[in-house]
Amino acid sequence: MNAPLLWFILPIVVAGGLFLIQNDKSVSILAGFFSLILFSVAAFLPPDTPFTILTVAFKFEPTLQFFGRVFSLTHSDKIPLMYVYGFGSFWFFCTLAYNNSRKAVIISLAILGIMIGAIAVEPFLYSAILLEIAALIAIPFLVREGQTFGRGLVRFLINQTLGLPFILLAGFLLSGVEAGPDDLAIVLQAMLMLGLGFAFLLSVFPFYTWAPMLSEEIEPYKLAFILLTFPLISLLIGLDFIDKYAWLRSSEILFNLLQVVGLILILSASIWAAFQNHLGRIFAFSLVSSTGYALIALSSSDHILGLESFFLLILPNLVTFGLWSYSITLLDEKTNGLWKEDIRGAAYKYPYISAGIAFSGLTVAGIPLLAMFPIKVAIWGTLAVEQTTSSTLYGLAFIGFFIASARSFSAMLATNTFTGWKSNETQNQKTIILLLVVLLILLGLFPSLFKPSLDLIIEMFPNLAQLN
Amino acid sequence: MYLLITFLIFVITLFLLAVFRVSKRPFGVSWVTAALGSISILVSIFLWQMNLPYSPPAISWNPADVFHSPIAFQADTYSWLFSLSFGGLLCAVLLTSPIRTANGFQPSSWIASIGFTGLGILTVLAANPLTLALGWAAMDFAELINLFRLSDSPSASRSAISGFSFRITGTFLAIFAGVLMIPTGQENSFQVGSSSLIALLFLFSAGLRLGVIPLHITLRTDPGQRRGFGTIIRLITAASSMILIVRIAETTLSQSLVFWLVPFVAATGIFSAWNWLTISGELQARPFFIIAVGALSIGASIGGNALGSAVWGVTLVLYGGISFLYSAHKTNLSVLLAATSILLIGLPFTFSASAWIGTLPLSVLYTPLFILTALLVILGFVRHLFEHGEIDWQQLPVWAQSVYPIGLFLLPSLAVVMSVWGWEGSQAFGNLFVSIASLVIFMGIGFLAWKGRVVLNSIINIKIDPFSSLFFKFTDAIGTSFQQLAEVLVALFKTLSNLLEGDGGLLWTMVFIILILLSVRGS
Amino acid sequence: MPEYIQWISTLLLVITSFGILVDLEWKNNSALMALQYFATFFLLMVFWPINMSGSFLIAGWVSVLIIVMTNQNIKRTDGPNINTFSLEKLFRLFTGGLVLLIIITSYSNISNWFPSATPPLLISSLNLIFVGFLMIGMSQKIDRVIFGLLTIMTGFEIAFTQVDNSVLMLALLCLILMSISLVGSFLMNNAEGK
Repeated sequence: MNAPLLWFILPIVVAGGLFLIQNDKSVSILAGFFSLILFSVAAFLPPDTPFTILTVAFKFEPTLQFFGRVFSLTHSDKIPLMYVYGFGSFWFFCTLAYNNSRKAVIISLAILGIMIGAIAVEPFLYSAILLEIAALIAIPFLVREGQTFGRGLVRFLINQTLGLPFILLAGFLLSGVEAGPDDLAIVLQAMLMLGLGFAFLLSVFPFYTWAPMLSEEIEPYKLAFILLTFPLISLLIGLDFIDKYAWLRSSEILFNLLQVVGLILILSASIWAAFQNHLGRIFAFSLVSSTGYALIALSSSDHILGLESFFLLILPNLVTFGLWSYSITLLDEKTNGLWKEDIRGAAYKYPYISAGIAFSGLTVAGIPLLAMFPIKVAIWGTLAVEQTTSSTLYGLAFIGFFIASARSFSAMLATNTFTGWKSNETQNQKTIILLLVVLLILLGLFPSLFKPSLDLIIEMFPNLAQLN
Repeated sequence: MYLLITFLIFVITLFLLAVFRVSKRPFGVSWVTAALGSISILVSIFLWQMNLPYSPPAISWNPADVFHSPIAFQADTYSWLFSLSFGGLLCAVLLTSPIRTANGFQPSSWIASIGFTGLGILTVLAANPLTLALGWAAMDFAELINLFRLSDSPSASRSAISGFSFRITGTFLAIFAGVLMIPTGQENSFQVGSSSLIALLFLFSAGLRLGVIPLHITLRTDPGQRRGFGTIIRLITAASSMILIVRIAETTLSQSLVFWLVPFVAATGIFSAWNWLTISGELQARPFFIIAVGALSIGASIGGNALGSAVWGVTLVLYGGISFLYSAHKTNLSVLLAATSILLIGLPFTFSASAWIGTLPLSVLYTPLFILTALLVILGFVRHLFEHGEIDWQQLPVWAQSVYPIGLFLLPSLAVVMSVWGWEGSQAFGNLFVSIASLVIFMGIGFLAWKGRVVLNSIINIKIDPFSSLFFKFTDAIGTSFQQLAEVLVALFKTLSNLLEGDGGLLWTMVFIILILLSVRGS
Repeated sequence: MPEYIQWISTLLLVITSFGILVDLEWKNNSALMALQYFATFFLLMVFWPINMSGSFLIAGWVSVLIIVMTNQNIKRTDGPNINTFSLEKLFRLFTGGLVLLIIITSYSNISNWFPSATPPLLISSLNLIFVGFLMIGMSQKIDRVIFGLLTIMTGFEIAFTQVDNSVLMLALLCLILMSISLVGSFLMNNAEGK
């Protein structure tokens, strides 16, 4: 069996097969279990690792040739495989609670496959093309069932497409840099192109405007899917770039730039979030900020520490935004809108959903006891050691997100017709929300829970880790 | 070891109460278990004294190079004083609870009281800002959920959010201070060193959590009308904030900072203490009591008197406990309880003697102001004891009549115990000037109460609405200005959003990029 | 490829791109877009063999065809006064002219980036990229955005020719061109007030 075939091609084929099934719930369950299987296989039988089943020795071959290009998934890709399909499984099961989710599930399963392809493909130029293809096929999935699209979707298409040519151009220039790394002009050109390309792909400031726009047009769970997968995979590909090119990973400017871009991203997102009157927009700004935190984590001069912080951010992010998107989508379905006026008094009618939104908002704000607190404060501490001014700016972002969270919860509590607290959620919805809140608290108290081992991280980015 | 025993008793008691609740045992069984559990907790805390200071092993988050601070606890004199007073308050709440049965017996409130006290003790045991922040947050969440449970109107719920927001902001400032301590290598302690900024952040943090800043909002959003669990929540939350003030007492603040800080703290103290004295109903006046005692604690801390600061924290819990739990009034009982207030006036060898051993700047000017605050607090305490009670003493069952005073007198007894066996050199002589001055004034008021009841009654019957005072009008105006500023900002960001998200948004994006690139190139 | 043909192609590209930028009528735009691909074909031949350049031309035309067919299917009518002269069109023309001026004046700097590129090739490429940006920056109507994106991609493709001659890369880029058109077609079918 071939690893790229299993984790890259098979999901796309299965997604195609799921088109034959008409029932929403069946599609969600099947996709959920399929992702769960891929997650489990990645966890216990990672690629390129020999194992024995009933005396039969077996190994997932790491490479697949395609028109002279190589798709390669090795043991070091275990972490992204687990994140992608673990998240996928969780997300597909959550779609059981939503209406009209069939098309979204099918397309997103295919997108996950393509994402893995983008990680696996060599040379890296093709990653950008695969990401663009993923973005293009995401468009039909993003349009709300039975409704017209708005400007946010167009902006999303523009931003994702514009990233591609810059990355390609950077790729071509990079080959020149490899030949003559001392040519400062080419180095700067390549970095500029690369920077612009990744700025579009990672949706950094000011290229993230499509996210809040889109949040007004589509279901929040779709937005969460896009903003949790695309930037994460782009970051992993970007890290791979940095790991591969000696001149890039030894560049101090690059890491300073990552810090500045990350800070601008979280500050702008938090300030904007603080003054929004639409829950979806607050959600979108919070989502885009997670890339900023990742960039700041990676900007550390101690690269191993940076990588560890980056990987420690991923799971809390997934759980937090998983809970948030689940709760906010349910609220959207029940209130038919997420504007301040639409959600008045929602907390009394849907206390569990509101609690889910409040807890996830507070988690993003870095409130103690909740999942993101330990790692966000740890990154803050590292920043304080290296840069006092940056650490102060970093601190301001907490306040912005807290104001946003308090304002949105306050809006859900405001009403003129108070009739007491009465839960209108189903038992399943209550259970899922409670479980996720408990998970948030658990991760807040034990942040190292499910943390990938340092060895694996070093195996993924050996050159970067060696720089210490 | 003793620490472990205490928390083991907490867990066992909570477990048994939960089991009894699920198995629907008679309330009596639950109450006896809760009362016995709380007494055992108190005794076990008392035993900590045999092994102080003590630091249990810290719980480190892995990897240690990423997470700078571990979760660490330390039991020392200060945390012991606070813990003992919390244990005492818990006992008092449970022993007096049989008289608060208007809504029937409420084992859930006993469970909550025990759990919350446990959290409070963990918080005051915190050895670094990170652990303290975690403890605070746990208490804030517990309080928020409790307030939502009790809220009967949207405004009450929104007030709860407002109060929560200010406390969390206070917590955030403490975290910020903790982060700034990382480069100095002191993040695992409260050693502020020479940094005034960190000390100021800590002070503001405690101030926000106590409600000193912003005063008007805190007072308006105080929801608590409940005596049992409500008292535990209010007092333990406030006292656990005071532990930070105690911890930073040894820091030398810059003179200019002290110059601005002391008058503000003194004014807040007098204003709040006066309101505590004059507002009728101890529950209505409760926020003022907390702020007034908080101001005294901050004053002691600025004067470098950590012990004095801790003493005021303990006073808050013990005497606040008496005042807010005393709902069935009986004249003899009131007189006896009022007599215990003599322990607060700083007489030699009482526990409050240590409260006045500090060196405030401009001592001649400010010490009398703080003495006045303390006296107003004591007078307010006495005044509220003699108000009409909520519950008719005669209606109480005989067993409740005997348990109830025990619960109340347990609190001043602890004050006596602390003055004898509280800390090394606890039987302090204190500040003679303060003792004499306080005693003279106190005796004078006692004489008035005895001979000229009219004067005392006229004080008791003063009815003022603090919210119509000039101070509140001023602070409200500031609040309104902030609200207007927020509205302007909302409009501004809406315009900016429209600009970036509108038809020409992408071109504006390009303009931004060019500006950023130019600035990067420039730098 | 003789240089005068390159210059003619460049001129044609400037005219077509400016035409699309200024003219708001979808039929004219589609025709201009098809012409733009035709002119690009000659420029690509500077570095690429005819079969590769031809493939790109066909992919481009298919993309345009998809948009044309969609517009016909949804029986789209442009708004009133679309063909009349207006201040908006003048402004568009002015910004386009400004961009071209900047490209020409800063040519010597930019040419360092692509030393092997001929002047017409580089000017065409930059013109298409920047005018494409103006197209998507000035309107959020889906067909104009799609034309803008296709224009930008074409501009980059001209720049890539000198550094890359991989068939697979070309095939994938052609696939993306057509996919952008298909997505555009899907969106036009779901557009508000189509």
